[in-house]
Amino acid sequence: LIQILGDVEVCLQTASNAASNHMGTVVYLDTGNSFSPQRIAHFLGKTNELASSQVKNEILQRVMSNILCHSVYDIFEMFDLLHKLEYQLRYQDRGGCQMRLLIIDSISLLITPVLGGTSSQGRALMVSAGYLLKKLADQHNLAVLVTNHTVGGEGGTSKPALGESWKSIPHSRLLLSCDRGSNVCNVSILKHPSMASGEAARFVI
Amino acid sequence: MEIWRLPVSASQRGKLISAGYTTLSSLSSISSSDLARELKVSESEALDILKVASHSHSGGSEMSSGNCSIFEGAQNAWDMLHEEESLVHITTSSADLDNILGGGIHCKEVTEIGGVPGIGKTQLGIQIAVNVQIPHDFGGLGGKAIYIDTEGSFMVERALQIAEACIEDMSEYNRFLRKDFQACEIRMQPKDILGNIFYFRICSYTEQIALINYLDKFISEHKDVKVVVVDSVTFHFRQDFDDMALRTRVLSGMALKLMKLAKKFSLAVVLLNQVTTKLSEGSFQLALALGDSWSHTCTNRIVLYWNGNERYAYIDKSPSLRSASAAYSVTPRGIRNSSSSCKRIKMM
Repeated sequence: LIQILGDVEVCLQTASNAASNHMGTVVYLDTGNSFSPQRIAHFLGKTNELASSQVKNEILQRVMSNILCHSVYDIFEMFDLLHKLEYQLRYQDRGGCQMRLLIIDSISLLITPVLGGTSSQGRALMVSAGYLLKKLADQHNLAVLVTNHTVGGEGGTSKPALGESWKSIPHSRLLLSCDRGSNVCNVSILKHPSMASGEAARFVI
Repeated sequence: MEIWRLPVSASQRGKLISAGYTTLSSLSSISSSDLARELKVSESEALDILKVASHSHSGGSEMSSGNCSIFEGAQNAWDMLHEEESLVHITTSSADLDNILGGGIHCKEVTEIGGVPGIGKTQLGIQIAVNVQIPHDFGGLGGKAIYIDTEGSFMVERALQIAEACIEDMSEYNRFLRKDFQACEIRMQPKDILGNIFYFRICSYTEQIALINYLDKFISEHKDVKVVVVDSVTFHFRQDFDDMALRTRVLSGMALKLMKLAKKFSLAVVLLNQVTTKLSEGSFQLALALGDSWSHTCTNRIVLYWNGNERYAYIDKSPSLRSASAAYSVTPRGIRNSSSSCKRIKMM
């Protein structure tokens, strides 16, 4: 279970890579109508530049039919879908096609409407969503990628949303940040079981 | 569906019923090892039972088709790509603006437009509400518009001007295309255009939330609504809110409802936002209002700003478009390209 603070771009790129390099199915749960098949087609076109247009088209079709997208607009709908997914995965493990990656973009959008206030029900929903995702990741050998957003912290710095109790749920957390006025981005590790935190790398979109 | 209709052997059926499993849904959440223990059968046998149960539960189509349909309702990216290519965009009447937007305002997406006062947010909102009604023959959507006004800034006279200009442009375009004066009768009248804009005046944030909850029903009754303009989404939320955490919750709930509308009815949602100053890196900078959480909720974000004496639009955030900026101007006829020499409206 990996949590990324930041961008749709990373999700789309990961989805296209997973589907093309590992031949697995990718399920993309979209909360912000931000899934852009055009962009994915663009990525795939980039990686197979040498092939002829005929072959290219075939690759494109095969890879893109491995990416399934579903829109979700509230947290209960998400639970419903995840339970269905778990149920389906149980029978699928021995089949030919394997699901490899589950992306939820972004989970914070679903959780913020229920979180906070006087009742603790929102928190309970959030934590149980976290554990359900962990269970899926563990039992069915999936990578789960969720995105979170940032909120303003003390002194104008930004910090990840969803607070302290969500902090402990994902296995690893990555923070993306962008320099103003350029398209160079930084990614730094906030939490990881096997790598030192605070390591950073730069990339270009 | 009852368990006795399940195509399993009689002894298995008996075991299932005596163990208390009477409906198919009671089988849907149990694992094969649990079932094997309860029925005192081998695990593979339990797995077979569950397979049969899931098979008949989903109408039998899913497993037999052999592809990876993990859940119904999901679309694969390949189909979505084709669907997206066939979608018509709503033009902004400024070719430069359309260019950076990839053809205009996208349907099925929520687009947020923000800028300083007087930059032309409302003008753009009215222009979009008019342009959505351009008929199919002219490369438009031929839909209707919902205009939600929270500030009281919607001017009917202005909408009439823009509508008249739009019709003039269409007839000019028609003449240009067909060179046939008989067939180019434009049947649309300005009053029809105004009649196809549903106008709601909102006076408090409770009303705003209530209206957005009601829109689902309204649009089911008026299927040809293709754009919802909210001018502005911010106004009431900046007035009388003490509990900022509550505001974030209410706003993100509202945003999700708008997303759902956009997807379900394949319409465009345009939200107009105000600006605020934000302290970042030691200096104050202009940023769109409603805070950081809100900035993640919209699909696209367009910031309007002044550059010298020219108005510019900048794409701040979009999943499919690159960041770019373009100049535009507000004329008596509506939104147009910035250079005055190129006045003709871009239709396709």
